[in-house]
Amino acid sequence: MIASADLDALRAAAGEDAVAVHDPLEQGGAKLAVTLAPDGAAGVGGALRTLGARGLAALVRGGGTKLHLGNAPRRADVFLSTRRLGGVLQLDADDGVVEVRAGTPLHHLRAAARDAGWDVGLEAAHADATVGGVLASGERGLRAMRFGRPRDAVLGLEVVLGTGEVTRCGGRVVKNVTGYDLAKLYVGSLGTLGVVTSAWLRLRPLPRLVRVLVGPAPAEEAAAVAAARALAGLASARAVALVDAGVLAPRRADTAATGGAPARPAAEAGAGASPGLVLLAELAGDEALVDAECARAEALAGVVPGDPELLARAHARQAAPPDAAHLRFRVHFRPSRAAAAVTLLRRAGAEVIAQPHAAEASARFALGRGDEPAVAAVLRAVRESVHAGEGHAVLEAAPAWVKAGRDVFGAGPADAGALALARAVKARFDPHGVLAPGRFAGGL
Amino acid sequence: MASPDRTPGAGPAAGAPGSLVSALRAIVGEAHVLVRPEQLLAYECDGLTHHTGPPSAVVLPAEKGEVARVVRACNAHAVPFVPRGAGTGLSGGALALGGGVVIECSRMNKILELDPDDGVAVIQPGVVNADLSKAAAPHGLFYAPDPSSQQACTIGGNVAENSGGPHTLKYGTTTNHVLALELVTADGELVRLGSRTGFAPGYDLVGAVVGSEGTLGVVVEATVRLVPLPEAVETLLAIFPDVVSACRAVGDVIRSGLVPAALEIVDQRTVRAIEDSVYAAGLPRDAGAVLIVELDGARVAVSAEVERVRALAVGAGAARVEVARDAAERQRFWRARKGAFGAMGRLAPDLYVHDAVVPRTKLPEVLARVCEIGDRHGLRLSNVFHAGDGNLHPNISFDRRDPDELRRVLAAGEEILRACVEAGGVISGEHGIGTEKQDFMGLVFGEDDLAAMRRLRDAFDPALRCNPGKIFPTTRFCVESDPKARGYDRVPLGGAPRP
Repeated sequence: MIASADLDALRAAAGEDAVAVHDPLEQGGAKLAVTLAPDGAAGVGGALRTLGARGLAALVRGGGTKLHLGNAPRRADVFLSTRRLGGVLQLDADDGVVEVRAGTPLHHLRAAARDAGWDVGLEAAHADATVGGVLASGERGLRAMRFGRPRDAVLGLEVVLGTGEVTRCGGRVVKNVTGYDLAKLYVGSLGTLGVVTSAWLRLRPLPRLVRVLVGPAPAEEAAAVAAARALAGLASARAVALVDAGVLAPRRADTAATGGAPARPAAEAGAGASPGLVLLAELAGDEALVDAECARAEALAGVVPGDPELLARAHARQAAPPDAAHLRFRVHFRPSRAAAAVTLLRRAGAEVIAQPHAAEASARFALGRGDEPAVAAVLRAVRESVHAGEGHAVLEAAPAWVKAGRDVFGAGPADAGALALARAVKARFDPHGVLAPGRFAGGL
Repeated sequence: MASPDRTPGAGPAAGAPGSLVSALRAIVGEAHVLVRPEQLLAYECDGLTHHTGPPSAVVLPAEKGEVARVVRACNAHAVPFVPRGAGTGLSGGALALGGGVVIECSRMNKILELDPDDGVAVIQPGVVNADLSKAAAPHGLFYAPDPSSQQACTIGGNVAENSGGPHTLKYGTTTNHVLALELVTADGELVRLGSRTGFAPGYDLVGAVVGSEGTLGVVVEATVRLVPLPEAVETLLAIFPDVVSACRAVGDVIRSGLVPAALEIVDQRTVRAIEDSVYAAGLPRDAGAVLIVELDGARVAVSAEVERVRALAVGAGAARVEVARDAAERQRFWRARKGAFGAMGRLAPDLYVHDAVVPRTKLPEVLARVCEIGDRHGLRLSNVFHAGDGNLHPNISFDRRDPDELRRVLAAGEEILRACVEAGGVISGEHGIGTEKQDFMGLVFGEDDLAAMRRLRDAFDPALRCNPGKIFPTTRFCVESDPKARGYDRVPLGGAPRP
């Protein structure tokens, strides 16, 4: 509970209109009834200093689409919202760089970039997702093979540390080794080291032509993965995925309709589809290249132009929020073990969206709830399998009671040394434990 | 050769304590510990020859376990240690200030694993950059970061400096290609960071260590990404009447959405120096600037892109555009770029290769200022640069034995950095800060920004044993000049001098 003296102090530090008291919202097992929404980095700093002095903790909130990620924080008293930290500050169309405030919805930034002839190398499954949220979560979508990791789009950041200090790192230029590359630490840290308040990003050329291709995958998983890897070898490939057919079905109340089991409707992607897996690819680039490679893709893997919305649908599904019927995981594995990983997941009855190629070897999968020991056994088998190849499986979406008491990040024994260093980093960037303590890997 | 000691904090080598030398010999063998002054001479500087400071000892471990034991031995004697690759660095980062122990990684030069299916290589830090691409080529793969020193520099050094090269515009720098590291921490513990899958739970410590200039530990193993060799490569050479029009062409190419593998400019002064040297590439001596554009990728795409670039270059004022017809001609084009350092180097005993970055749109105005600064100080200054990245490399030929010329070189260097920062840029794009630019960090960052970097340093190396005296501003500087002019007027974190 927040005392009224705390609220007064927060109003004094962050601004009178930055403090909103509302009905309690359940988040990670805690009930939060206060949202702080400062309108500048200085206000964020004031809020964090005040929280730290009073032994309180904040959960940073952008669009609110990723609050379920990570462990249940040990302590969370207030939301710290970037709602009032929005807007594209500077877009240099000649240089291909942009400065944007963290609370800007990614689709707003994308639209602004598009108007200037550029694309943004970040992806979000949800329309409400903000730039700050994508950076803080390190969200990777189906174009990761081309876009890389979110950190790769970042040139510089303004970050308010857990101590309340407003700091900058990096810059606005596209190449920079001036001092430590602190942006790497903040991106993907789930807001547990600092609050990103604005960012300089590198923009990407807007492709002249984009084609989404779809087709049934070979029934045997190894052959399906081989086909996906062949497609990923095309110069214009921007996304290649093996997707459970149910994922691509038009949106409907599939979980209710199937009584909690993952939905598995027949592929809409064409006659003769194998039961289950569909190949999905996006080619992007100059017209001549994309046209030539569309033909090549059909010859390689039997994929043909399809509904451009399929990619977005798959992405939305892979990053779906918690629901009553599913546990959702993300798994990273060696490219050479992709077939084994996909086979294992399919045999376990998981709904799979896999990127089984060298540039991004990962999958999202969902398991139907109901038989918890069976789910635990599947997870154990998956982790045993991928840990041997330096892989990891992360539990992303689950009810709070499932997450309680466990580290959802799936660290293996090889990660112990890194987590010890990570603990030292957390202790220095957020010494008072103001920023969602416990939410991050290793209970940080 | 006697040289003025310009290194902040460097004193005469103290000589390693005898008990430490014995301990080091017991770890790596007597032959792999260097302590005699004539042996240490080679380690008194790196590629930045006017910063010097001899180590007290150099140790050459054969494997990572030895590195860990060497670090623990240094800790037991409270002696700092400095990781070193091939010593080709250009910012003084490999100097052992005040007589630390240099840990030279050249014996750790094995490619431990090359996995074409995963597209990764696992290497020891002393592997020479070019050797990895050579080993990967039979599998149709290569290691993309290619600093100009790639025939000599090691990947361990590249990781420390986050090295770039002419092809970073398309392929990125070292940080984009390192998936996992094994680090000997400041405590002498072996720690694995990251994962070859590209995801590991926890903070992105690989990203933090790459580019940390050897201050967060000793990298003893790296897992790096290999990428497919392009199907086609085309190289264009365009002659411009002046550097402004060459820069305009670069801007037009970037604005068009093309992403060439390289976009390099050689200015008129460099063209003349090259054509007067053994590196002569047949360039017209009156060329105002030469632009080299390399395009790579799928053949169908590249051939169309060549025509787009040609049209953009002509539109920006190119007098002539040539496309290399074969590998020999491509090499001739690149000689015009890569011969620049040799050609400038023959003009005087020393060559100062400067490094700064500006927004690409500011290149013409900043270049004009850079040349004006060099002229005003009476220096032989020329420019070759990674135009596509906005990464300037003003080269100054000089003689460090001439104290007045050295003073003018340093004064011009500082003015150049100020000009770049004023244009929205930064003070290093790929050479690092080291001892060279530590006192200019305040041009780019405020005290809170630097304090955040110190927090990272403190998390990894609270006793400041690992390559101390680099990156962070020295307090010496504050005493000797007007602190307000450089933003050093604020009190450093903790009030005490920190590296």
